Amino acid sequence: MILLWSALMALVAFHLVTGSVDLSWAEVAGGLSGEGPGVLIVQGIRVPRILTAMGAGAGLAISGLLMQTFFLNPLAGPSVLGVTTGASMGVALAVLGGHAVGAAMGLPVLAVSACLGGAAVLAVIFFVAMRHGGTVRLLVFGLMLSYAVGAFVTVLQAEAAKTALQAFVFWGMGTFGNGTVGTGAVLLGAAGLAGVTALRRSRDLNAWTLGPLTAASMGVSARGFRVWILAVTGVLAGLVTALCGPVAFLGLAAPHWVRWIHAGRNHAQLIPLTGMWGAVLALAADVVVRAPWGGVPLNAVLSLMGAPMVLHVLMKKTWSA
Amino acid sequence: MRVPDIELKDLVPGHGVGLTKELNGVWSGPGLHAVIGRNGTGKSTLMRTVAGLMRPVAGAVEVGGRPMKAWSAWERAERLAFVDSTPPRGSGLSVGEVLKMADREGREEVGRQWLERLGEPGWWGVPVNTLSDGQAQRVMVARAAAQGCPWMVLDEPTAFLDVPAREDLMGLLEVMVEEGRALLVTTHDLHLLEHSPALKSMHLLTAQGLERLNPEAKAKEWEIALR
Repeated sequence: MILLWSALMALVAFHLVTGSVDLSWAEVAGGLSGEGPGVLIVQGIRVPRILTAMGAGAGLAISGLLMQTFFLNPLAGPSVLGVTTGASMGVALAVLGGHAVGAAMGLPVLAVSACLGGAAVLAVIFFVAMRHGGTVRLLVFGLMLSYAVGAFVTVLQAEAAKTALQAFVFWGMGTFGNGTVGTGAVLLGAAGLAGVTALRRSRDLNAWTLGPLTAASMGVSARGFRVWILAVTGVLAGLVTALCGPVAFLGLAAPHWVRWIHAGRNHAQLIPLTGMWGAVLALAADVVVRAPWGGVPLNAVLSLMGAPMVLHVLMKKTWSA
Repeated sequence: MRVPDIELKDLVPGHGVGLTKELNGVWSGPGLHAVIGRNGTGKSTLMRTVAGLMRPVAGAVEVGGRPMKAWSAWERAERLAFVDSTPPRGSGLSVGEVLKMADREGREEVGRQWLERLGEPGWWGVPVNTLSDGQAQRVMVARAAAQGCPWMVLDEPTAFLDVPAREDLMGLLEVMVEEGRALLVTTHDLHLLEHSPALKSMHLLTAQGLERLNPEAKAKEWEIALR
């Protein structure tokens, strides 16, 4: 844990001094306290970006962990339930419907419409979850829903004006660079809140790994648990998608990374570790994105980091929640 | 330990479609209550329904005179522990973590005690998913015992076990009965039941309903009833 905190601090520090303009430590310190030439860069660009990356990384990682535990399935992730695609549809409707993207005024509109889109998909998932308890069926249902909604987004794109389409495509690449201190704080707060409620439910999560029937016999209210999981994962994925675009692999891969590095499988430890590692991995990916030789889109970096990790998991014979 | 009665009132277990005619009857008092039946007669479905983990097609299960659906998940877990017929395969929790969380107050000594009685004190730190099915199933029985309920519902607890382990498990179930608990068990191991002093009642489940058998009879007679 100490190592993890130091890694996080080192990445934050590295992030603060490097970039398109390299700042000295004195300039960064001045920028943070509101003096000197670094103010605009540090407070206006780098701090928001760091907060956004950490919040998005932690949020997606926690939502991925909860989904993998809930479905007892290593391939579950925030995008699998179709929530990310639902949020994308919300964004597509807003952007292609004529709202400017990137401008400060556009962000709240995007956030609201993405959350509405995610929530719409979530409402359907809720309905299915209530009627048909089977977790595998729900997973496949989420995938199919994701395809259907994705097709709708494609239709919207075909009908869109050229400038709006361009804005939407840029958003679709995903970045941590569109936020403000406020939106970064919202993401971090949401991830923190989700982590705290998940910690309070860690006995339920642990019992769930023994199977839904056994968990229910140990006092876990299956329906309440289901609703809670869907609500937390849905809101986290919706918020992150609205503010950063559809971010690939982080939610799926971060929990595997934690299981690879750490031996324990108790959720009381897994939850904080996953949140922290999610933040670290997101920051590390963003360091690569911002590297002077870079210009690589965020999702390309994350896919290159995440895909081998998931393949490694699939090669192993056994998997455990 | 005060054992509430479990009463079936015109109960029809099943997934949407009823598997049997209406079942009526009462299981009461400490001891081993066995249910036998051919494959596919709905023993597992009946066990899950009695344990409150599945809604019946019709009728009701009452525990201590109160309908099962009126109990919350937590209240239910204080009265009935349940062991499924298949052990978990995906959990990376250690045996100790599983046993500890089974006790409602999370006490370690309760779990340690049951692992001791299982004869496997060395398993405390071992991840559940590294055990064999039979070993994991025995841990699940200890886990249900650590839950401290007056009733335990066990669906074919011996299915994955080798012969010595079956006899050990039977001994463990008898220890639970001596503690004053009531155990509802489905099994195909008629010979194990025949020699058990704890056996209190015996029922045969068919599509026609629950038929009372003589618990003092020989395994041969039960086998004839099964056919």
